[in-house]
Formats: sequence, C-alpha cells, structure tokens
Amino acid sequence: MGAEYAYSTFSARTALYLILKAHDLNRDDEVIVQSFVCPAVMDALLTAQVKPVLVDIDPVSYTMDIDHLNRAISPKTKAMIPVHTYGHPCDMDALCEIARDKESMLSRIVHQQLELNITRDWLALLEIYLIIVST
Amino acid sequence: MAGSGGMILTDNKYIAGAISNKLDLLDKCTWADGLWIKRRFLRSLLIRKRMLLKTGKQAYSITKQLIKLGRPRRKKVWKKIPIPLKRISPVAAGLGLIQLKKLDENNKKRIENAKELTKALEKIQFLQLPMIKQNVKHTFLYYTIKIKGDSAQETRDKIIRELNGYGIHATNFVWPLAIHQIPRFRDSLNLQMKNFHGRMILWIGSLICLCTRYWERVI
Repeated sequence: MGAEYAYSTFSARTALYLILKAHDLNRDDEVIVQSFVCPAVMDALLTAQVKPVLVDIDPVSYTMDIDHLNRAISPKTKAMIPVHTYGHPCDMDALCEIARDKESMLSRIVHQQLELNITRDWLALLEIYLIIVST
Repeated sequence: MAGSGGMILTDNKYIAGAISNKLDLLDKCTWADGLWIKRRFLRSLLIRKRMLLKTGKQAYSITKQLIKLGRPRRKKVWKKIPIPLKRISPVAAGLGLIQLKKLDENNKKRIENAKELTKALEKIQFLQLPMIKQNVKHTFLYYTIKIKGDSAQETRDKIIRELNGYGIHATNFVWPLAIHQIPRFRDSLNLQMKNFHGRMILWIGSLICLCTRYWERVI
C-alpha cells in the first residue's frame, strides 16, 4: 500500500481508537468531527475518553464545513477527523491550510503525518482520516 | 462497521512505535457503548443456532417457537453486548490483502460509472448530483443524488417506486446517520437539532447497485 508500517484491526473504530491512544490524548482534549458521520467515529472517541466537538457539514458535498470548523477550533483542540463522505473528498487543501496556520502548535512528527494524508489517493477504503492539529 | 475491518498506515516511525505500545489495550476494553440489541432478537438468534443442528420434526417445532417469539410485545427489553476491540485474524487479514489488490481497478470502474450517470442526469433540473472538484480524485463509493425543492421527500419516493417498477434496485440512503439525531449521543452531548444540516441530509436518495445494464432503462 506504499506505507512503511501497517496495522490491521477488527474494525475501523478499533483503528481510530488506536490512533487516538497513540497520540496520548487526555480527557480534556477536544477532537473535531463532522456531525454527519458513522457512529463508529463517535464510539472510538468516547472509548478513547476524549471530548468530541461536532461541526456541521456542507449541504452540497456532505463533508466538513470549513467556516463552522474555524469557529469550533479552540486552544483545547488537539485533532480533527475529516471524513470523505460517500467517497467524495473533503476540502483537504483548506483543512491543511488551517492546520498550517496553527504550525506553532504543530510538532514535526505530526506535520509529516499531515503530508502523508494529502498524498493518499485511494479514499474508498480508508474513508476516515485523522489530522492532528496540535500535540 | 463492526467486523468490516480497519487499517492504519503510516510512514512515521514514532507513530508506528506508539501504536505498537498501545496494542495491549485492545483486548482489555470494549466499545464505549457496546452493542444494544433487543433481547427477543438475541433469543431468536440462539434458537436459530440450535436449529442448525436439528432436522425434520424438531426443526419444525423450533420454527413454531420462532413465530411465537415474533409476536409484538408491550415492553421491549434491550440487552447490552460488550464488543471487544481487537486485531484482525490472520485469515481475515489475508482475505483483505487479496481484496486490496482489486481496489484501484474497482475505483476506476466506479469513476467511469459515475461519469456516465452524470452525463445522463445533469440535464434534469430538480436533481442535485455529486459535486465534482477539480484536481481531486473522487471514488464515488456511492453516487448520491439529492432531490431539490419543497416536496423532495415525495419526489424521492416516487422516483424510487418508478425505478423499482422497472426492476432496478433503488432506495433512500440513511447511513451514516447524523450524530445529533441518535438519542444516545444527542442526550449525552446536549446537541441541538437546529444547529446542523442532518435533517435535510436524510432526504438523500441514492441509487445503489446501478449496473451498466440498467443505464439505458434509467436514462
């Protein structure tokens, strides 16, 4: 698949749970997720004991509304989970720009992960991507 | 999504190491909310499992029991089943790897199908077709069509009936659900319905399993 490390799990929610745990997110940390999403994402967030913050979707593309996302970001925000609903890609350029604006909070490791997400082009299988905004 | 499988891919050594360290957590915990199913349904599943081992008159009597269980009851009893988080089995992983090899080819087919559909349907005024962005590769996991206008729901149902009449499988698509419409999340997070577009999204009608041989009949 073009990646150096791969972990296969029983379900997508398990994979999300592992990613959240790997980044050592705490109870107070906020993770932004769109409101129109599979409940598995919410289950993963609640199992990992982080605080989900819902943002609205764009009514045309059904993906994360960038304006609403900008309003939802707070100092406690640690990550956002954009979803390519029905295989329609969300506005990754805008999302990455938001993440880059917060570059002062970004660690080098996290930034690399961000770049990796942009280059992936097989969206159907991995509908859910995770971008860490800050660590 | 349970059991459909998940995968984490990374080139980052630090992240990979962190994930490896957390793998021990998996067998120790379950989904936050577990899986809630009706107790009656659970009982019927258990009986069906037993029925597989029996034949003839025994199976007939068990079928009668199932019919009895199917009767509506006043009180619905829900049972919570904890679902463990775990890694995929080697057999399932092997099957997944075989399927992954077909992914690019399947995506190409989906994109071609979507182009044909867009070409045919773009002239219809009251349909909102999927928005296609430039320089981005869509995979069209589903080809979603939204009905515009005030009587969108009625129009959608009418179109579905018409298509079904021609023997074409079409249905209204309600998955994924809007989080603020699921009671367990809405109540625990105190979400307001008016703040989200979700209600509108439930009106999406999408054509599922629309194969090449159906195109001419649809168009």
